[in-house]
Amino acid sequence: MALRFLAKHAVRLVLTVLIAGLLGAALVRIAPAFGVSEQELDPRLSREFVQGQRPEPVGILRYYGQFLYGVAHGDFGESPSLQRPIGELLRERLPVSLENLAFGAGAGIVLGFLCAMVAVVFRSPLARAVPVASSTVLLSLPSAALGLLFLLAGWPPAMALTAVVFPRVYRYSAAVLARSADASHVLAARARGVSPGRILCVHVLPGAAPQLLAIVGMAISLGFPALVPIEAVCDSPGVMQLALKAAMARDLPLLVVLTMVASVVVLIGNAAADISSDVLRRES
Amino acid sequence: MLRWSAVAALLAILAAGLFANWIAPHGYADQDRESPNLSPSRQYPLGTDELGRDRFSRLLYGTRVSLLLAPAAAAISIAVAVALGGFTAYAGAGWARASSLVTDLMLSLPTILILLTVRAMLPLNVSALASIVITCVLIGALNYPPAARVIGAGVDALLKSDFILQARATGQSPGRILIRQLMPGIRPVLIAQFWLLVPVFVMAEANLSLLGLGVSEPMPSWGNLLRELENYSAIPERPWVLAPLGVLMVTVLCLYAILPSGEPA
Amino acid sequence: MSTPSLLTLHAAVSGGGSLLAATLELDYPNKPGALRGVSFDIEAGEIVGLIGESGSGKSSVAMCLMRLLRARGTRLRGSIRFDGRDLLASSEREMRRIRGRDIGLVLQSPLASLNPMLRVGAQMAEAWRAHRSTSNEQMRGEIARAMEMVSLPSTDEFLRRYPRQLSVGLAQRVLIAMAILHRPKLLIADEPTSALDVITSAEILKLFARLNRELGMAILFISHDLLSVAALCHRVAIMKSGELVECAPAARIFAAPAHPYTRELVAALPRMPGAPDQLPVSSTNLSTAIEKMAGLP
Ligand SMILES: Nc1ncnc2c1ncn2[C@@H]1O[C@H](COP(=O)(O)OP(=O)(O)OP(=O)(O)O)[C@@H](O)[C@H]1O
Ligand SMILES: [Mg+2]
Repeated sequence: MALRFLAKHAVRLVLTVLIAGLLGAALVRIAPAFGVSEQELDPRLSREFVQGQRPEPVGILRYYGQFLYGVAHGDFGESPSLQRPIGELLRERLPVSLENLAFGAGAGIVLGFLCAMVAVVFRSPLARAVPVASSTVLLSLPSAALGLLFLLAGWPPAMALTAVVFPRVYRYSAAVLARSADASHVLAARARGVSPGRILCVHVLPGAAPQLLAIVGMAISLGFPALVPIEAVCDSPGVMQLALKAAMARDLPLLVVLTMVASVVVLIGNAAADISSDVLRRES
Repeated sequence: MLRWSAVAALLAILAAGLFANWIAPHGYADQDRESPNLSPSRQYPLGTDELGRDRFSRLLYGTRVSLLLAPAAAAISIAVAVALGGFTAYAGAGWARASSLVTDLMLSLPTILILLTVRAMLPLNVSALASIVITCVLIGALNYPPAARVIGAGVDALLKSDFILQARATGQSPGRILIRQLMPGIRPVLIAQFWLLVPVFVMAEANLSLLGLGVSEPMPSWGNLLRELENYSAIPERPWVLAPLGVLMVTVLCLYAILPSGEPA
Repeated sequence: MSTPSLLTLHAAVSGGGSLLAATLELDYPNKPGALRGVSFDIEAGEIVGLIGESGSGKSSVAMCLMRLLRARGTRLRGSIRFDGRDLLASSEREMRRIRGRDIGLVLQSPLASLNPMLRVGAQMAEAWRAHRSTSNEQMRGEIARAMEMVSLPSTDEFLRRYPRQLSVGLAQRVLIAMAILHRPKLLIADEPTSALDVITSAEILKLFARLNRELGMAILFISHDLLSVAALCHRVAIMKSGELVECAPAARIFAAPAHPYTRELVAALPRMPGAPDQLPVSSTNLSTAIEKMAGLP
């Protein structure tokens, strides 16, 4: 059962990435400045060969097939603007971005959940007002501006991501927990004099767990793309900074690979949350 | 009550932007080469930037661009969402499956990267007006999927509802049902989605322009104006550079948050 | 003495030694005046029925007495004196001690009031441990005693069931067993019979009468069913859209209903065959009939 489940998600992930890649390839193919980059992307054509020959039109599917063949052999092609193999760039920069994501989004999720729990347990106006006010302000600042502010303050870029993720996680999880706390059996437990801590842990959280996991997935899929402006302005050498550089340099092959990488991260985040929340639902 | 004050405040800010031509003491591109980086004065209420342009005037014009661009993009989004999500429910199985597949795909791809990719394919050195249009259309068209989901679900629910069945039973034509029953029924959903999208798009424009991929100079927009953050490491000593913009931005977005529910959610 | 408000006021003043004396004013954010000057008292060991149409505010009374309302914008004023204490002045921590130990509450919908993810035994144990820290054997003994009192099997098999494996009647009994676990002085039961079929509901009514007799428990019995209330309760209070219109001994409600609304309620009762057309059945006839139905002595 669980295996079929995993398989379903894996298939969905692979399919989405493949389709995304195809669309990307189509974009590269029809882009005006394509002539050169296409040949450079093709791993089987040597540089001299390209220079010696006029570029021959290649069909999108064929081009995409060649690209996939290269990816399967660990070769993502070469970035025309940086004149370096894309695989090497990824190896260099992906860990930086993943670290930013892990620390930044992780802290945002933990902080958001904590604030939501505190607001649900202690229904004091203060326990609500502080996170609501701070999340409203944070939600009103574009992530690039947050990144710059944190840069000026001398804080790491991951913290800017925390500031992006926290308000959203707080909003959703506070709503989810409030709904779960409104259940009749929670009221019944309160009427029996059960302590607030126990009510939260035994009656409110288990009911809300699947949705909370979905929020974790959302935080990841929202956090990774949010790294684009943050890494760009904070000069953090991750893949997302590379994406902006690629866009500025109109380096489509690199952009397509980066889009696929980002989709994989986003989809894995979503799928992990889906799977675990489904498993939880099944058990209860 | 709170809601109407929010509406009034928003309208006032929007009016200040719309009538920038009359209110602003200088044009947004007027450069005073003799006096760059001035502190606030009678002539330049918020000082001048590094090219000697009046910051106050640029703030007014930027407000106009940002506050008009976002609703326009939201309207585009809603239009695409209705076309793809709304008709999905109405048009039958084949089209429904195809368009929901596209929506699913779009939902699972990081929008900002698609935005970057598409923007990179378009010419970068365009006129200011063209850059505004490109930014608006891109933001609007690429961010339609969440709205399409909600609108599709809304139309679905409406089609299954008893009063549509009643209308069918009385022999009304599909077109008539569409106009008389479906449109009024779905309008609240459309309006709610619109107001959800506007603040999101204000932010999206700011992000893009700050990164240099949105509205292009010399046309000011909130994102463009925020770029001053990069040039001044001495922000704390010169609060007038960005504090007014920051306050304005937070205020407007908070007001947008209040609008739909009439409550600071 | 002619107007209901005077009547209830009198009751509240004279009942200095009563277990509970409450005057309630309640505003919900979207419904101001949900309760308007609802004042009544309950003597120790007394069963008071609270009757009213749907939406008249009966459940709100129960929530107010336990101070369970805490949504934003909900305002509760008035006074609640319970057992020599002022509940409105008590802190949340003190209220927690009182809930479940001194006042028991059975909520309106039995199945929804049980946590679907916890076994019956675990919920029982939680109700016990909320107020006592004793050995497990002692706890099991007490739980078994409470379950026996509501005629539930206290077998392991039953305690290991999940709520979804219970019928509504069984769930209702489990909830009552939890509510009487600590022998509260006052038990509030919110429409405990309206989700049940006639036979089960008669059994539950009998059960309440027994609890009252054997444990000396005062009961606030909320219902919209005048017949079952008349069969069980010493006194009956009648509510209409947030106000208490009449509060009198059960017999008098039938014999001499003072308020027009009460008269309407009584007139709406099904007539016994052979009774005169205009009048409802005489009170003695009616209560014997009901007692037979409910199997009361
Ligand atoms: N949490 C709440 N917030 C706002 N309004 C409420 C709330 N609870 C109840 N109300 C309103 O207060 C009124 C009284 O509700 P209450 O549940 O006390 O009635 P009731 O007599 O118990 O009805 P029923 O017989 O249906 O259980 C109703 O109009 C209801 O809509
Ligand atoms: Mg009720």
